[in-house]
Amino acid sequence: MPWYLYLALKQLFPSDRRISFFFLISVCGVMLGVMILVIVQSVMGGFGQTYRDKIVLTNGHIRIESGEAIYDYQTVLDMVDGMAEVQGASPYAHGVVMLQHDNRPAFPAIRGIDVEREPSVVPMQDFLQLGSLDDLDDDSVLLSRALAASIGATLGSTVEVYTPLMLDRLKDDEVLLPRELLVAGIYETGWNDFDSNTMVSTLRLMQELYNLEGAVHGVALRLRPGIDEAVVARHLNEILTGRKRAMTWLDMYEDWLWILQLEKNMMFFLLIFIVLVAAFVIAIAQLLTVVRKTKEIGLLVAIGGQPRQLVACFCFQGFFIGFLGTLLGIAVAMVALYFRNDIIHGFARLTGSQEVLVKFYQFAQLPAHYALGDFIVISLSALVLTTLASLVPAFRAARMKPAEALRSE
Amino acid sequence: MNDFGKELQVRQVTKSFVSGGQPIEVLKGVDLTVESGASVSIRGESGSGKTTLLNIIAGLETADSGTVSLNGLRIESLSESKLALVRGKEVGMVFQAYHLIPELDVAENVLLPARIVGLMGRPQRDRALELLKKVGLGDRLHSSPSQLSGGEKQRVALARALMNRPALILADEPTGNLDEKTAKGVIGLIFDICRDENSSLVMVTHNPNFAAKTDRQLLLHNGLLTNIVK
Ligand SMILES: Nc1ncnc2c1ncn2[C@@H]1O[C@H](COP(=O)(O)OP(=O)(O)OP(=O)(O)O)[C@@H](O)[C@H]1O
Ligand SMILES: [Mg+2]
Repeated sequence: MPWYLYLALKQLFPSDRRISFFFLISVCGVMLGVMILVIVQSVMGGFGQTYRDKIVLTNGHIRIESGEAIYDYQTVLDMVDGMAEVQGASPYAHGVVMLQHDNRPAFPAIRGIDVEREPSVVPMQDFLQLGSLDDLDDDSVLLSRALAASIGATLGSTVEVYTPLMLDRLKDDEVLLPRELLVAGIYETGWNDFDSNTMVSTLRLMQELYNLEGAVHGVALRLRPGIDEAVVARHLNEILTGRKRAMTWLDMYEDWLWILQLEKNMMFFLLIFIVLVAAFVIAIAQLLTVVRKTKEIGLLVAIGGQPRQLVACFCFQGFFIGFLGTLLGIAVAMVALYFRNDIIHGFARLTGSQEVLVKFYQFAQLPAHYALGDFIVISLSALVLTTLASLVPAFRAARMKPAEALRSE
Repeated sequence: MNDFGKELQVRQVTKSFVSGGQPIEVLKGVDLTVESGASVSIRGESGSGKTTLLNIIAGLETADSGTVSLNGLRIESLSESKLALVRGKEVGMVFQAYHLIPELDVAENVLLPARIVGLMGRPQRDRALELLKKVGLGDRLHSSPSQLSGGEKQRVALARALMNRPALILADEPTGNLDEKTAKGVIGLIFDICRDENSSLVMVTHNPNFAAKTDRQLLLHNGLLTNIVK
C-alpha cells in the first residue's frame, strides 16, 4: 500500500485509539444524506412504478388510432392477432356524452368496448366494485365510482344519455329524446385519469350513439411481458396503412411521466444538499486537521514525501468517508425500506392517524421501487462530493512550504 | 575538488529573506565539505541561519545562489520528485521538536521513511526493530508517541532518521528540549549509530561539550561558516 493511503487510513483509525471522532461524525453525515436520498428516491420510484403499472393496466401498451373513424379495423385486428408479441387486442370507440340522473347532469368521457375482446387488454372485470361485466349489454353502461357519486346513480339506476349527434337533430327541429340506459356496474381502477369522470359501454352502443356505422376509433393492444413497446410500435407504424398510427402508453402519457420524473429529480436535487452539508463538514474538519498537523506535513516532506502524495492522502480520507457513509447509508435505507410499512403504521398508530392514512392516501402499503440507476447516481454523487470536499484542505497541505511548516509553532 | 563520492559539498550558498519589508541576508556564501562518515557541529547565535542552512542542504529550502551536492548529485538541479526520493533515501533529519506522527505507533513511525521510498518488507521491519533496540526502545514498539518521554521520543526520531541508511544525518538542536542527562544519552546514541552506519553527521548544537565530540567544530556568524580551533 502506498504510504499516503496507509497514513490516510491511520489518521482515520489511529493506532492508539480505535477510531477518530471526526471520522465518525463525517461518516454519519454522509450516511444520513445517502439514506434519505435512497429512501425518498425508492419511494418516489415506487409511486412512479405504481402509476406506470396503472397506466398500462387501464390503457394497454399500444393504441392504434388515425384521428378519424377506422372502418377496416378488422384487418388491423387480424394483423395484430397474428403478431407473436401481442397478447390481446380490442377495438374501441370513445367520445363525450351528457349524462343525467335525478336532474343532475355530468359530461363524462365514454368508451365503447368489445366485451368479448376487452378482457385480453384491460381487466375491466377486476375494476368493478358493483355489478358484472357479463351484465353489460347494449342498453346498459358502467360508471366510474366518482361519476356515479356525482350524479347520485348506483347499480340498477337508469340514466339518460344525450350525445353530440342529438344536437344536430335538435337543429333540424327534431324532438330530442335521450337514450335511457341501465347502470350495470360501478368501477374504480385506482388510476385517477380513468376514475374521475368516465363511463363504459359496449362498442355497439357507442357506434350507435355516435353514428359510427360499424367503425371504431382505435384498437388497444396488450403485449406479452418483457416486450419493448417502442419496438413493436415502430414496426406497426411501418406496416399500418392509411393515417393509422401506433402510439405507446409512454407517448400518450409523455407529459405526465415527464412531470413524475421531474418531481423525482427535484427531490434528488433538494436532498443532495444534505450530502453537500456533510461534505462541508468534512472540508472544515480536514482544514482544521491540516492546520493542526502543519508540522507533521512538513516532516512528511522532510522524510521524502511529495506534495501530490499529500493531496492523495487527504483526498483519500474524504473518499473513504464518502465510501463508508454511502455503504452504511444504503444499508440503513434498505433496512428502513424493508420495514417501511411497519414504520409508517407504527407512526400512524402513535399519532392516531391510521384511518386518515388509508382513507385519503388510498394506500395501506407504501410502494418502493429499487432502481440500480438511482443507487449508482446517489453513490457517485456522494463519493464525488466528499472527495472534492477534501480537495481544498489537501491543496492547502500540498502548497505549504516544508521549511516554514516545520518552523511553525 | 572532487564533487563525486560519498560526501556533502556546499559551495558559496547565499540566502536572504524578506521579513517585515526588510531584506535580511542570512547566508552570505557558505562553504562546507563533510567527508563520508565524518561529523561536523555548527554553532551560532539564534537567528544566524543554522536551520536555514540545514534546510537548504536537505532541499527543503532553495538557496538564492550557490550549490549543494550530495554524493555527487546537485540538489538544486533535481526535479521535485527526484529530490524527494534523494531526501528520503540519502538524508535523515532529526529535529529539536521530534515531529513524530501521533497516529502511528513507535514501530510504524520508524518504518515510515521506508514506506515513503516504497520499500516495505521483512528486511525493513527487521531493521526498524534493530534500530529501536539500539536506541533502547526494543520493548516499546507498539507504544503511542504520546506515551513517551521527550528523550524517548527523540530516540524514536533518531531511529526514524536512520531507517533508510542515509549517507547524511542532519540534526538540528536534537537535544534542545532535553535535560542534560537525557541529552547526553541521546548524543551518545547519535554518535554511536552514525559510526556504526558510517553516516556523515551535521549537527547544530549550542552545547560546547557535544560540539567537541565532532570531528570538526564550525561557527556560523555573519552569514559565514568559520572553523573553531580547538
Ligand atoms: N521564511 C522566512 N521568512 C522570513 N524570515 C525567515 C524565514 N525563515 C527564516 N527566517 C529568518 O532567517 C533567520 C535565520 O533563521 P534560522 O531559523 O535559520 O536561525 P537559527 O540559526 O536556526 O536560529 P535558532 O538557533 O534560534 O534556531 C532568522 O532571522 C529568521 O527570522
Ligand atoms: Mg534553528
